[in-house]
Amino acid sequence: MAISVAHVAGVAVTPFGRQPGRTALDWQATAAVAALADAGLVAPEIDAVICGYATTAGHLMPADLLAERLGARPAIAHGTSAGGATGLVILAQAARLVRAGDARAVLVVGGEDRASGQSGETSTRTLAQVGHAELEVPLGGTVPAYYALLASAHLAARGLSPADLAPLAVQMRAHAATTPGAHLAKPITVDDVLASRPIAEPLRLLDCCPVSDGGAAVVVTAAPAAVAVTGVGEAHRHQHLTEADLADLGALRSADTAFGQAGRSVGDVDVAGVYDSFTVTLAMLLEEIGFCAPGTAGTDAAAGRFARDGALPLNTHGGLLSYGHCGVGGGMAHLVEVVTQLRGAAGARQVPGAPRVGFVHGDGGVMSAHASAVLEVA
Amino acid sequence: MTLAYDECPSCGRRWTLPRTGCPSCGAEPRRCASAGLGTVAAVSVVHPSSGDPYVLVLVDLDDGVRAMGRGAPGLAVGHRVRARPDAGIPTFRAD
Repeated sequence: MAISVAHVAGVAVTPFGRQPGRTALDWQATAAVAALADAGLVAPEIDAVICGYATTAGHLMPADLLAERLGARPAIAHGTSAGGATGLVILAQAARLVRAGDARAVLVVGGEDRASGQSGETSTRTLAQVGHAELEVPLGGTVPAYYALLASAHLAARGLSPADLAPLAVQMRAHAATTPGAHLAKPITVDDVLASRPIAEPLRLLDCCPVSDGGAAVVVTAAPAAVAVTGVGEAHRHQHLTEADLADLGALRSADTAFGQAGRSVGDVDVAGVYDSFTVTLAMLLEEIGFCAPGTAGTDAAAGRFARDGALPLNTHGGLLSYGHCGVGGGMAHLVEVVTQLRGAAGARQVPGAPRVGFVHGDGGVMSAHASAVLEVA
Repeated sequence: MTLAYDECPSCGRRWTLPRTGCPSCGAEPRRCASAGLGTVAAVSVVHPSSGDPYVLVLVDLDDGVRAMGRGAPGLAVGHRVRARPDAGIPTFRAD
């Protein structure tokens, strides 16, 4: 039997922001219904459901819960937890199921009331648990603090200052300004970033993504569709920052696997979506994967390289830094945006020149879990 | 909490957080105490939503492993430091 090619037949992302009144399951179902409609499918036609975790729900079996809500009775259903990489991990899993012939239509979903479903303090405490329970968290470790330590090491090693990361936040905000549903849309400058209140130095408020409510979903099929998943990859080198090898975090390994499957390289990418929980996250990922030379991600942003009409249109919806971050759905929004760009359906945001090759990357924990995908016009 | 690290008796590889096997060769490691001397690799002044700011550091210990700890105010990348327990938490000060 010939190996099936996985296609993305449907995508959907909800508006992100502080939007009280819906549960995590509500956001997942809203996104799933929209993605199914986009694919021209109904829930009973889905034979696998993979649903990312929600910190506000903590349900034991989120995929079964969602499948029942949707009216789906899949042969395969399971939840998945890989931090911020989850959205791309479950896309990769969906592609593998389709390639293997084990499923023909896979629904992949993330959604959470992360902003309004819990207090900011609870959210901070929950997320901090990606740190080591005995040797990191008791020191006062939080996710911003772990990434601030990464930023400190990154800036020191390259002789950079926080002003060299700020243009990444400015570019993401400029993208979001024209994206319907973005959490933060008011334009900002480098000076605004540097003048915002310190969160965990060298990171300031505008170096950090907001916490949002929202959801995103994707339908992966064996049946042909406009966009194909031509490569997927993952890498898992450490859990805790203390054990991280900053010269080999796993991002390049993950991307290389995906590019290798697709027969592509970074130079072929027409539009990209790269995880940007903090400015430094985006800089380190872009540089390790090879989209930017070491230490140049910020200057590339300042020069307009990541603008819609730049050489590498990046996170054209505004990314986590400005479209927002609702957890698993936040990392999936990059995927939805890249597919939308490859379809030529991004309207006022459309990247010029009919992009044909897209790349998406997610990072979970403290640069701990990495997942990548190459998407191409079929 | 005293500073310690794992060492592989088979291949000699060292790392910080307790594991059941060496990531290079799979052998069962032994736990070793660190003298707590090292060089600051990263530093952050953390501003919590409530309470006073505090300093977190990553330190490259002379033992060849990296450790996380609290730091004294004013530390910078490259400073030589020594760890002392402060209310059970390893705290690095200029050496």
